[in-house]
Amino acid sequence: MDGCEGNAAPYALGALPPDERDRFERHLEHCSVCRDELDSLQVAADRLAAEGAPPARAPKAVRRRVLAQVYEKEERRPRVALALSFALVAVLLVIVVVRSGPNGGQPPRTLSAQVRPPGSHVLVRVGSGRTEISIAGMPQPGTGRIYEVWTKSGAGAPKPTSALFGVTRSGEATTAIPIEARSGSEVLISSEPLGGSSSPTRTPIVVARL
Amino acid sequence: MGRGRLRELADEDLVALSAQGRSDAFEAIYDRHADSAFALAIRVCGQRALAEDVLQEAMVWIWRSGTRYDPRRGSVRSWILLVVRSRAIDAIRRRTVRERGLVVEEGAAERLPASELTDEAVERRDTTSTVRGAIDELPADQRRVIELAYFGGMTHVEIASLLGMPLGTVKSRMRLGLARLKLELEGAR
Repeated sequence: MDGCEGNAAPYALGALPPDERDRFERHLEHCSVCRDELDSLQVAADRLAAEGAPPARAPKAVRRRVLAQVYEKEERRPRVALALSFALVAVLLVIVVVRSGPNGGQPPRTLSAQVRPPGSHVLVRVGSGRTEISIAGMPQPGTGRIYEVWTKSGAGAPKPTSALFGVTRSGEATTAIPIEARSGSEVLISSEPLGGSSSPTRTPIVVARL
Repeated sequence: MGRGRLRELADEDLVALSAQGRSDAFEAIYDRHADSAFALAIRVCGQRALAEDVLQEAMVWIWRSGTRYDPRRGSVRSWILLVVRSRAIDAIRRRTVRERGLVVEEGAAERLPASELTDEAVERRDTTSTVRGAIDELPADQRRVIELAYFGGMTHVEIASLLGMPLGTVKSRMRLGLARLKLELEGAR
């Protein structure tokens, strides 16, 4: 393909200068030949990093210094909004929010949500004092695990709800939380150990901003 | 969540918790990858003291930057080692050209007698030996450009200049070397 300059190997080895690296990354977006070659070569390059050096044991003194900073700064460290840390892994998906009021509800609104399993669908119905969530195409939460629904406002930590649920073999489920999710808040779903958790132990697979 | 349960979590989950400010989750990540990170730092820096500084700097940066991890670009382990390599290369680039160069392995790495190794460490050392063996099996011209690039932190242009060869030749040797390395490692499984 035009524009291929044989840069997959230097890129995998981290041997491209920054400007050339950026240009190659843009090239990768539309060149499947270079993408395939990079995927193939990257396997070997990754193993160079992990196993290409003679083994060594990290000094205990370094561990003490690092962890001293980590635990010292725990209280002062800015807590980045949970959703931000998951944004990069998410796949964009469309959900529909229906506000069902006493007069039959307003027209449905189409919003964007971040959902990890491609092909999943989430429908959120926000009613008076209650929020219903219908799901299709979700994977099983894993052996000994269950899905848990969380709510989150602004930069605050996710709050657990009473909604714990599994999905059918076809990946369907319907659950509800006894609160009316507010505009601007987020509804999150993550896989948790049976019985639920007080804070998410795994990356939420649904992050829906209302 | 107790420490025992934390240490059963996958790297990706630990990074997510660490990004929320959980120091104990980061501690588990550190203990899981610090040895490999330090080995790589020594390999790139060639000096134990400098490698210690690199390890500390990289790990503290990772703690502060947990939200930057992007799983689309590889595993947590790959990300950590990429950060360590990058910091190590920055460290050696700050030194004079005269001091730079490939690592002298003898005496640089902390060689560990087998009796002091855990089963996991023995397995890792065996794997490391396999990869080192595969690198050693490469034709010298291919091995040289790969080592200069990956462990020496040099760009393809710098390598072409150092070795007095066309840029296209350097790229070609990198590609042939990595492809052969991949084949060797696949054959060793």
